[in-house]
Amino acid sequence: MSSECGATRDLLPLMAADLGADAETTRARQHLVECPACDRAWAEARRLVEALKVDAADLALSASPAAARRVAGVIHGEMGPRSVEWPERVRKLVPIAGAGLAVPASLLTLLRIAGHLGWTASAHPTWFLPAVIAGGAVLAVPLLIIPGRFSLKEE
Amino acid sequence: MADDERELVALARAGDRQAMDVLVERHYGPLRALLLRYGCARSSDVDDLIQETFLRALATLRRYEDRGHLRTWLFRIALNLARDGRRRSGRIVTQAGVEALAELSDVSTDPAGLLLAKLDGQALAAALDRLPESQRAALVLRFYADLPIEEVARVCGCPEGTVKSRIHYALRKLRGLLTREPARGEHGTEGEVHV
Repeated sequence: MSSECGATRDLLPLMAADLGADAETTRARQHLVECPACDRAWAEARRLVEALKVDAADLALSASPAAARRVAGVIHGEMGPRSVEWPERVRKLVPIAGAGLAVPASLLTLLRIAGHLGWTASAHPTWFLPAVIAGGAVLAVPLLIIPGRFSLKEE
Repeated sequence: MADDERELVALARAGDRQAMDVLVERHYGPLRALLLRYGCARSSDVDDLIQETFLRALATLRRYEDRGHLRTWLFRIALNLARDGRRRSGRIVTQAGVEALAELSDVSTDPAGLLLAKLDGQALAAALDRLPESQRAALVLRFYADLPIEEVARVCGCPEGTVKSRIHYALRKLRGLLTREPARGEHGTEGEVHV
């Protein structure tokens, strides 16, 4: 390589995009005009940097979105429980709240039906209350046994 | 960090898959280019490193998200992982790269401009692989990851002047390798990676 004065040292790393109009750059540019050796080294370095940038662009273009998605998929898998989304969590809370309302409502309905039939707690003190609870449970179980439906356990 | 990226990071940290997908797709290309030219010969290795980079980044996102550019941080993690990998396995230079470099060097009568015009990725990769680690890191961060000097300095953990110096000597040595001229200024080399 041609001998250089060292003035290109500050310029080489910067290259086209970063070249500004500050005093240092102006001084270096002026030096390139006056020093053929540095000017040649600068031109050669520019070509090399262009080659690097072209190579970088080729690599970027060759990166397929499918490969990126594959990587993202693996990351999701590795993240495990962390990958539950907040909206998903909210969606899971809604049926739990619904079940919380449905069970007391079922019990009240049973009580009213029992009242119409003349079955009251005072008339049948020993079995009335357990029967009402069992009836409420029977109504609630079909909802509660659906696997994971009301669980807060993260996927 | 750009506002939309900050938002994406916050969502990803909370577990939002779509946000994570966007972040991965956004940074996959630059990370891949960086790692391939830093010295990972196989795409599958690169994908593994990118996965590990994101996993580490997401695991410690809370500590970092307001302090700087996500891209800079990802590059730093990726380079550290790649450096560890290279230490374990030694240099990996593909035979095709060595042949491409040898083919270029054989044409010693060609003007430098013609030689550089004929450069392909394999020859560049092989030449880059022969640079000292610190110079190679500075060069790929600057020209493959397109980071400004101050961000390269942040990733490398050294002053901007040192980064400029490394890039200067790296370019000089790289040109020497690609045109088979003996590279001068060897005093500027540092931290040669052993095979």
